Amino acid sequence: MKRISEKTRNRLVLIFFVAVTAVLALMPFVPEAEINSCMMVTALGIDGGENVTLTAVMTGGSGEESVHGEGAGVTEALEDISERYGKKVEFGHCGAIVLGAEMSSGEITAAIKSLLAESEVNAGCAVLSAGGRADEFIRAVVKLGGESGVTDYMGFADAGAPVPVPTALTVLTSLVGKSRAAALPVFSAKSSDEVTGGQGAGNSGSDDSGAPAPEGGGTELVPPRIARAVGSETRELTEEATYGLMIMSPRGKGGALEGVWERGGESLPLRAEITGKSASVKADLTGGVPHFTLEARLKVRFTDRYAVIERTEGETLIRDVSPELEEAFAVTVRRCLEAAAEASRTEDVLGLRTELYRSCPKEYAEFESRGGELYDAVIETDVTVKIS
Amino acid sequence: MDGAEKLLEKVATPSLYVRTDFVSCGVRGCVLGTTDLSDQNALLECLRSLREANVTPFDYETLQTRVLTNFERTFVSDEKEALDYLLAGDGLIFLDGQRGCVRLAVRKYETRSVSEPPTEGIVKGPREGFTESIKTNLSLVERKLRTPDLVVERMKIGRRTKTDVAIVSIRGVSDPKTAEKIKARLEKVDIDGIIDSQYLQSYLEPRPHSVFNQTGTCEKPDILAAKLLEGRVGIMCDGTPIVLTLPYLFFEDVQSSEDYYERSTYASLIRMTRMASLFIGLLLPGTFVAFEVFHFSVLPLQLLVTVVNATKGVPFPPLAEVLFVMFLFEIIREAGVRMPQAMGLAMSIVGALVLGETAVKAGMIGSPAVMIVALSSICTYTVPNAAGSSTFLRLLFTIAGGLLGLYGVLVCVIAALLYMLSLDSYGTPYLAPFAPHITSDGQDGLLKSPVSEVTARPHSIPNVNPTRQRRSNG
Amino acid sequence: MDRVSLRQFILLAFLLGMAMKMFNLPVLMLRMCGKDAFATLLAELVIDLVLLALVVSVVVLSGGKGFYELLSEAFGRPVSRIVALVTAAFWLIKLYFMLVDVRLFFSNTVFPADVDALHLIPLMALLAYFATRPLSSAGRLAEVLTPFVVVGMLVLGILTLPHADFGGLRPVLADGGAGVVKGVRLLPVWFGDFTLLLSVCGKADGGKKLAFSLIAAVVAFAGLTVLSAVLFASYGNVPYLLSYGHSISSIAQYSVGSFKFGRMDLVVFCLWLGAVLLSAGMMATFVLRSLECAIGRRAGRVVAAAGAVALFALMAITVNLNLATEYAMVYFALPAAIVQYGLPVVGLVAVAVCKIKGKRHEKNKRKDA
Repeated sequence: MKRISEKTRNRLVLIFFVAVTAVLALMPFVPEAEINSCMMVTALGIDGGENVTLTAVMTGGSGEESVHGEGAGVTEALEDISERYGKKVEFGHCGAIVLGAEMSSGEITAAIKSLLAESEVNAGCAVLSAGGRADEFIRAVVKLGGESGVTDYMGFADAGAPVPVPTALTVLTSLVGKSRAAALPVFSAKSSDEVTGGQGAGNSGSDDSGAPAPEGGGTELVPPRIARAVGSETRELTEEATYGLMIMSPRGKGGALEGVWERGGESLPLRAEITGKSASVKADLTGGVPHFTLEARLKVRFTDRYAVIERTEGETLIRDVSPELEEAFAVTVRRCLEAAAEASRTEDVLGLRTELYRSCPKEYAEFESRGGELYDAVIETDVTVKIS
Repeated sequence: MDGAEKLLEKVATPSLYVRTDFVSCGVRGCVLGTTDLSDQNALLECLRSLREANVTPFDYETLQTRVLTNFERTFVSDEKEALDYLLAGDGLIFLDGQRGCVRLAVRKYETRSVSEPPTEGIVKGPREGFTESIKTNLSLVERKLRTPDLVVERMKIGRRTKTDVAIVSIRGVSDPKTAEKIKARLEKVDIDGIIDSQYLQSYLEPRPHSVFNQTGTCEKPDILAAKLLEGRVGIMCDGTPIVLTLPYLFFEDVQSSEDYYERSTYASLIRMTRMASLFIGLLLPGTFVAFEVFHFSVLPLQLLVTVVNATKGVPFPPLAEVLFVMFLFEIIREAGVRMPQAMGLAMSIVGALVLGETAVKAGMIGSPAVMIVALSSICTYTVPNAAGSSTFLRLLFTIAGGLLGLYGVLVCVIAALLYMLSLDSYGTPYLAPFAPHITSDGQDGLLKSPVSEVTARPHSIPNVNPTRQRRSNG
Repeated sequence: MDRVSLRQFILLAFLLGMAMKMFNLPVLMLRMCGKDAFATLLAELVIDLVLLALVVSVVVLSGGKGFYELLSEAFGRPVSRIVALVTAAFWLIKLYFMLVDVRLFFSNTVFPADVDALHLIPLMALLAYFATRPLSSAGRLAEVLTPFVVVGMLVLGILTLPHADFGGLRPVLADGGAGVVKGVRLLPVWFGDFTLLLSVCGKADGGKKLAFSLIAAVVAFAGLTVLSAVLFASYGNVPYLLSYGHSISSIAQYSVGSFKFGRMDLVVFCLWLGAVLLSAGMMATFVLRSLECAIGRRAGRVVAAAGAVALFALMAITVNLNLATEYAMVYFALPAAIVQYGLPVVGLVAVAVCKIKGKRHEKNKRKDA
């Protein structure tokens, strides 16, 4: 083979690249901007029943708008939306999945599995439960949200609300795992005269702040205060149980904490803000009976200093009464954890079975063969609160 | 005198040359010079000296030693050499009946004065720049490097232009093999004319067809002196202020002389900024097109909405749009360089407003494309010496991004890197000191150490004396 | 210059340590081995470290000779030619599976279903160019790419670790070691890249200091293990959510909240992709050099070009990428294990034989003298 000169070699390389580029450019491989042929979904509402109804919030030139589709399942409903609007549905920026109140655990599992596996929904997107129908909630948020959008509202709720907002992945993992249950925060939209305030143990104190105000009256968004347990049956948890769930959840930020300080026969309500927490579940099978210990270590910042000083008439330093104050808060936390634990006996929203399986996998098999119920489980709490 | 007549017979236009006969001490002679390149006053002065001379014998030796002592003069015996001197503007004195002639250095060219070069502006530091006269340029370098080790090897290249070329190096610093290789290459040049030093580039570079620079350039004596002190060799060419330097590193285009006149911390920051600018300039259009076409999920939601709104109704696919805008920018840039000053302002307005804003408003192109290409162009001009290769690479990456997405950009980047890694400039790897990594050269790499701490010459440049500084300050 | 410096060798080891393991491997492991995926990964990485130690031993003890030169001296030219041919064929097939992985990763975005193979032409051209470059180019490329790869890894770590719940890894080895054995048996194609470093045998500076490459490999493995662990912990219960097109980048997508900030994991992953392309380039280099050793320089280049065309044709007709991945596990696992882990052993044996022959030669010389 004759040795080719560098000049000829360079020419051949150049010709090759030009040819490849020309081939790729002239054939219909020069793609159009796919961006213009897609609908960017920022939130998705799913209502169950005989047919699955999807309400998708799209973002586009004129802010957000909602679109509607129906089908036997989620996939069919998405195809319906694509056909109706002539665009491919793109889920890369979907921040929230809102599930209707009537959806069962089976429907939720199938819907989320379909969305995560087939539609490339971000596994970290929030999963919420609507107070009523998801499509009504979505439309209310779109109407109120304007430019801010559903995901901004979710972001606010995630930051300030006393209810942990789970991700699609954690919900699905919980539903298909050993626990077979998940807890979803309940968001709702109500007309102004139906909104009720609430003074639950876990009230973040954000009743009046944050939630978008209605324009000219009408619909309002209700910040979430309770969670809905989804498993073999669906039921709403109490505010105390919800707060206990928030304490034990790694996603729960904390928010405000209330307590009652008994001194001299009088009761003084206390308020603090949780600045740090760590919580874990210790599980064990002893004599075939599951034993659980819910450990919670909280750091709080006291916000009612002056009320305490008034009560002690300035004669005692706060640090001297700190143990009493901390115990007052700890009593509240214990009560909430116990409420959550009680709820978990029927719907394992705390993931007790999962932790039991992780701790003693071999013994768990036997426990599961006997039914795997938690009614007889021994659940204790170990709570420490420190005031900083 | 026969010699003078023979020379004049060889030229095509004898009227360009002036011959003045004289008789002195009984000997007839003549002085040859050019009408345009010789200093007429000096020739007259020479003639006066010759006429008033009263020496015996009146021959070339006497002329050199006793009569023409005010002039730079040499005896020339070769006819060809004499013609070269005459064509260059020197005067020649012929004596009747004697072989050879005496050359007088009376050239007088109209040249620019020493001023700041337009391509290497700085805020702090010397502002002298080279001119088109090699003599002036050499004097500027000699003023900076007052060392007996300054080596200047001169040659004439070009059959018709006989351009003066000087190879400058420092004995005991630069590797003599480098200068020898350069000289050997230049001696093989057989061309009719060398107009600029850039003509010599293609002879000196190992791969003249490459888009990448393989020779350094400078227009300022302080930069040349600094490069010579690092072990490089400079090639000066008469008729151009651009001096070539070899060996060449890619990174030297990222460096600026101002880095050495500023505080080292600030210089380090600026160098990193230039490097980052270069990356942005090269990769921004390609990655933007890739995001728009293939990977729009990479863009945050708000930005995505902005881009969607901005590109609604644009009739071109994103790749075509960006290529079109890049083409427009190149046209505006080229026109900006070429157009007469009187029209400059009006055309700038046309370029900016009509082509930019109006085209966007009309929906022909999108504003993100204009912004991206503008930013990319500005970024590439933070390293102006690499503008040629940057423009080519930018185009390549844009096409790759538009056709194949981030995968295409990555493949092209790796291919470009592989090519650059295989380039070699007189024993110096092109991407030194990054690849191969030379730790000691890091003192004057991306981060710059204070001058007092730079004790060694760069190891990436072959040199025979690696120590620059005996001990650091303090 | 056809040599690599000590630093370049170490960085090559670092990049090869993670290259092919960061695409589909964690997902494959999760689906094949379930909860034992983490233990399987650790086991495979330990095996790879041992492999690197063997390779480094061969390179250090080679005495400046190339790998095939060693084999030729120890076992004769015909044996070294056969080994070279087998090696070339093996790495060509492994290159095919690596390209399948690259296609899978980009299959959701860049490659439409009907023109996949055509889009690989630039990559094939790049690999062909890489193969003709001297080893110094590969070493220098490693020096350039390593900072970007490290930054990519760090950014992915920063994005994912704060949200990771490693409790999902438990229980470990709940069903005994059956999953680990299965993984080690089926997945050697994705490991054993250190064998490529045999191509620098006799051309690496540094002597015994080359052993520092083991530290580099440990660092690479540590990063890979942590990021894989996050994937295993997050998707341990729902591996069916991940198809073969997913990779570790999925966890960053999950953790970042990409609906707000965009899928920066994709960009970061492309930085990491540099290691993959370097590895592919090293494979192409090893194929070409093996063929040149086996059948001569010119013939070797012709056959290498033919091999590249055949590879491209194979890619073109491969429609079901998942099936190709399954073939890698079912049919190619044993040959991969034999060649990848056997070559360094053969090299060490060759070194020993050469030393013995050398001593005998010396002894005979002294006797004659």
